[in-house]
Amino acid sequence: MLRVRGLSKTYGRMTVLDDVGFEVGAGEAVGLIGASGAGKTTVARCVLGQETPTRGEISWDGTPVRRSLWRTRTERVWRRHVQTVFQDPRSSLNPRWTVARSLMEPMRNFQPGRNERWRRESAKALLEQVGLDSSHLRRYPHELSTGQCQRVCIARALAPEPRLLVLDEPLSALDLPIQAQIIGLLKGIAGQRELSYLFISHDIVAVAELCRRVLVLERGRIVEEAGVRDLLTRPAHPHTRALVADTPVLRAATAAGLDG
Amino acid sequence: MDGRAARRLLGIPRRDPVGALLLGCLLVAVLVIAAAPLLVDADPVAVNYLEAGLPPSAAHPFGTDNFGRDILVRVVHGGRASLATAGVVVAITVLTGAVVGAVSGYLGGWVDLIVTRIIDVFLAFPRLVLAIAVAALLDAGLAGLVIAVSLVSWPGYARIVRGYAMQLRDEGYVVAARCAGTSRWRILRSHVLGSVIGPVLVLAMVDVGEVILSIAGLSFLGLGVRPPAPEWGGMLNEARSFMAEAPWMFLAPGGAICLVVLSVNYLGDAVRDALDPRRPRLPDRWGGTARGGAEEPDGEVLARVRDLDVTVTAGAQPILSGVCLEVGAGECVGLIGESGSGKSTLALALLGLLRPPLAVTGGTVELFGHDTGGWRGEDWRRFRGRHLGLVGQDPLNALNPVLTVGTQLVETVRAQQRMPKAEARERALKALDLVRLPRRLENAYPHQLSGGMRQRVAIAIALVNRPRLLICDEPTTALDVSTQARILEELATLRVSLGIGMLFISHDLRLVSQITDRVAVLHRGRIVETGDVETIIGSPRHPYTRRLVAAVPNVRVTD
Repeated sequence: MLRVRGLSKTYGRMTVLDDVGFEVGAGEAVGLIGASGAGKTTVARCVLGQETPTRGEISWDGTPVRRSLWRTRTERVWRRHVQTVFQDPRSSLNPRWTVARSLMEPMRNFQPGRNERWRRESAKALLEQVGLDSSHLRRYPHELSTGQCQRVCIARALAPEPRLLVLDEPLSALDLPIQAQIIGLLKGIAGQRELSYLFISHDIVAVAELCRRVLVLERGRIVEEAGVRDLLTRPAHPHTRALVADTPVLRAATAAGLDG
Repeated sequence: MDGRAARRLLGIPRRDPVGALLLGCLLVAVLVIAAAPLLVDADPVAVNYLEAGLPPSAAHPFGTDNFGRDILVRVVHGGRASLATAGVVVAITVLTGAVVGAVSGYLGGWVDLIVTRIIDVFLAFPRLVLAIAVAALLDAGLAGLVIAVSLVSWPGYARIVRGYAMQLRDEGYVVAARCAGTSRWRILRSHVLGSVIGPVLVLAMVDVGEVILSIAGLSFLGLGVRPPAPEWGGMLNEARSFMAEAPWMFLAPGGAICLVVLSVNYLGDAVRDALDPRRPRLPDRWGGTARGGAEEPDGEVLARVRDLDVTVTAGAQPILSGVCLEVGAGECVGLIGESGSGKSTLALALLGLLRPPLAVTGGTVELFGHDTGGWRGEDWRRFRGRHLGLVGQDPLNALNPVLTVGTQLVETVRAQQRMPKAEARERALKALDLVRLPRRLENAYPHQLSGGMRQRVAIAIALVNRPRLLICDEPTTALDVSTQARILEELATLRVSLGIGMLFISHDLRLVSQITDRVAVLHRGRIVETGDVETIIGSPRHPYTRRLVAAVPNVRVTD
């Protein structure tokens, strides 16, 4: 579905991405891990069409896509089908807008033919899908908890009926119990509709919960691509080994054998 | 604007009676001035020397001027010129300024380059001089006046709005809108202008007074409304010569300008508040320099919190209730809880940094064996940074972006202890050694460092005065796993080598379990369980603790 080949990005003399290539199939969840500064967010921005790659090609459903000033039909389809959720749910909602208005923004852009009532009904349905209800429609972001804001962001990303969600560190701003809830929610949504994930994180454990295939990015290069079980048990590249080793664990957990 | 914003706007009279009165005055003034020819049949320009310079009386409530014209009639008629012109000028400048500024700031690139050059040229001239030149060039009259004043006012607005728009360009919700397929013009219209309009309105309303006076100035030079036609600014100028003999001549137009400007300013504030759903922050109340008898630290228990209650003054809901916690010398205590549980509030209470609307309503905080109940600003200042250190969540916020690392370290030392600069610098360098940063970084600015290095600097600053207690409030949340692991190791080593006590606050049980001896679980403002790490993890008693332990992601493989 999404294919990235030879993607490179340089800012001035600094190379951020160097020959990155990967694919995401329909209904597949792919993880992308790396330390901060490895270029994870730049990959996301290129895939979302927010950044023009210096070299390389991104294709959507077999057609190469590129961002342009006057949007072509293929570009519009690509943009509609690839949606995103960011790290900080509070800053990615306009503080002056109610939840309803934020949710209806992508609908206005991608489904212009629909009327206001349809949009309101859809917004309600989306909120229910992410575990909130219609009473949240009239709220402002500051009246919601951070976890609820992230749910609204997920609902907004789902509004144009995308086929790929790019999740850029969606859990980093959340507490552990809330992280677990959001992962459960994402799993549930993927079960309900044909939806792929590109899950970007520095936390290998979070990625392992959701994805089967994981890419490891180090200083702009993909150094390892493996199934999640192999990655955790037999990491091949030294950088992956370091990442796995640095992942915090419960001190007594291994001894007590908690959590199965 | 949505339904709730409209309701906030309509709810103003109920919340603020003084404001409602001002708005009422403005409304009445505008109505009277608009209907002037219908209400007052006297001629505002007809001269009658028999009644010249009369003080206020029943026939002439505001008196008469040196030509015997009724001042009330002239104020009412003059308002038409003053208010209408000021209104039109402000509308034109705000609209032009906001649109040009937003487009230039948001699009950036060559558009921005050209626009800023034009703005710079305009701003290089003195405002009023340029207005005079333009008005003279355009031939006098009200239209010329409006154009002249607008032309010199818009660049100021454009520059302010451009600054806002540039900030907004990288704001999370604007990026999100771009990803949601919103077109540039739509983002400009809804997100950018929507955010900018509040502050700009306030500015515009403050400007109304200035515009009325500029118009008066130009009229005085014969470039706008010419005497004898009434106009508030012009009337003020006429009255100037008779200040001593007939003070009522300037009282009426001066009062009118004052009232209109006051009400319009209030209107600006009210509209801004209605457009922004968030409540403005309450002003900080600094402790000042008063002292309340804090002594030198002693005792084995570094911090003891007993039955602490912290409440939001406005509401009844407690943030912390009945919290008890103890940190002994050299001990590392973990405080775990989710966001909103009151973790950071407890840290602030320990540092004496609670500010309204938060207040301690019960219980005691003892530091180094002394009750802090009677401490005032200066007492706290002597302890913070000296005996108590804080490492916060976001090192980028904790460090001053315009000072070098070395300067900030030296400043921290000298804030607490009198010593020559060289000696303070030596201490600063030692602190850098302590967190294993190269000494040459003393000349670096925070933005030149990576996230992990910044957090090390923040730790160095916290430790430079060798405190006995270090409070770490989510010190690794902003860092990636590898950096997190390094910082955690660092903190553990430093704690042992320096023998300091530590309160480690986190939402992540994994981190707390690695570094602390004892853990307190905070849930909705109450400590629900305390115990050593093994017990808390191995056999949690409270249901909330059990949930916390269960939420720890163990490496579970999906297939």
